[in-house]
Amino acid sequence: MLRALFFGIAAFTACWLVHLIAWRIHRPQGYLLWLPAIFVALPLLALSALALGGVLPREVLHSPEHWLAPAMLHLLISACYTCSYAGLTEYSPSAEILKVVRDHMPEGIAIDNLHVKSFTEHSLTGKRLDDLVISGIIDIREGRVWLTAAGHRANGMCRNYRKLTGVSECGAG
Amino acid sequence: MPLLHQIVALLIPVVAIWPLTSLLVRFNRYTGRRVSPQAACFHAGILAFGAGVATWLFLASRAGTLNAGELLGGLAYFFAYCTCCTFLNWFVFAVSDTSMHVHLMVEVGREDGIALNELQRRYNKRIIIQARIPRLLELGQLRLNGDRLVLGGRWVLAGAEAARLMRILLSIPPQPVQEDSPSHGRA
Repeated sequence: MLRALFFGIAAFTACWLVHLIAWRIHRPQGYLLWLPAIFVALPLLALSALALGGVLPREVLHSPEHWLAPAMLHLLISACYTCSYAGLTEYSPSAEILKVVRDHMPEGIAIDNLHVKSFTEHSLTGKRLDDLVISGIIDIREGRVWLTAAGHRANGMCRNYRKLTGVSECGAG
Repeated sequence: MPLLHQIVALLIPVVAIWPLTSLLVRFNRYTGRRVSPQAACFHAGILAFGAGVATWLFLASRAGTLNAGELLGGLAYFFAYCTCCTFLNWFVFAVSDTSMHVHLMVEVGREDGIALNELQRRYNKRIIIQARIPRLLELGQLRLNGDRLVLGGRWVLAGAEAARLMRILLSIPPQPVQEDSPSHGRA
């Protein structure tokens, strides 16, 4: 298992370095397409090339007990990283609130005086409404907002997930 | 270790973690314990780690492949593996709980065809701040000193600092557009 841990982390690190170099050259917009391409498709291509070139014995590829555990670890770390990436491109409002409080330490700040310069209606709700329109979840017509068919499905999935988890159907946001 | 044993040991934490979260949330509510559902996601991760390690130990000892090195390696592997499972389980819950995109979608789902002005009245800057302060107090990141907010913990700020460094590495603007910056309004 120590070998599985090493190869799982090494595979992720190698892919992350490719991602870093690619992003330093040109940062693409559609990360949901590019990150899986780097973290899933690229290792598969590399392994195929190594097997075809005779560097990697074909028996290793044909015996999953050798690569299942490292592959699962690599995929899970990559999934965590891809999820976290959204937090890099979207700034956390909670962290922005804490930064304002930090700037007023040690005396602190009254809630009524809490003013976060990066919080604008556009950055908080306007931009997100635009995102939901672009991703086909909502439609805005004549000043009214409607869920699309995909929006109804996503909304139903979200409500069912929360109901099954045992919490209220809508989070506080 | 035989392939089937590996599959069983690796699947158990993945399959168990969400039902465990749901059970813990219900158990906490039933017993009146004030534990946030987000904390329950992490507690479920600890239980899933225990279940994964116990299954692996049982199967490895039956296969006769267990020795001191393998034991340490297995514990380290399952720790990394279950930390990832816990993060993903928490992430999905946190998206349903705190994501502004999801909140807007659910708000529209409550009243399809809602007027844009009414939607912005129901969910705006003031309400977003009001929703986050109690959560930060609950997580111990803020404290109330009289009527003033003071810092209570540092891990969210430490995470924000790590995110800022990652943004610099990946050529992403390190901080959001500020009200008084020249690019404000064009973002």
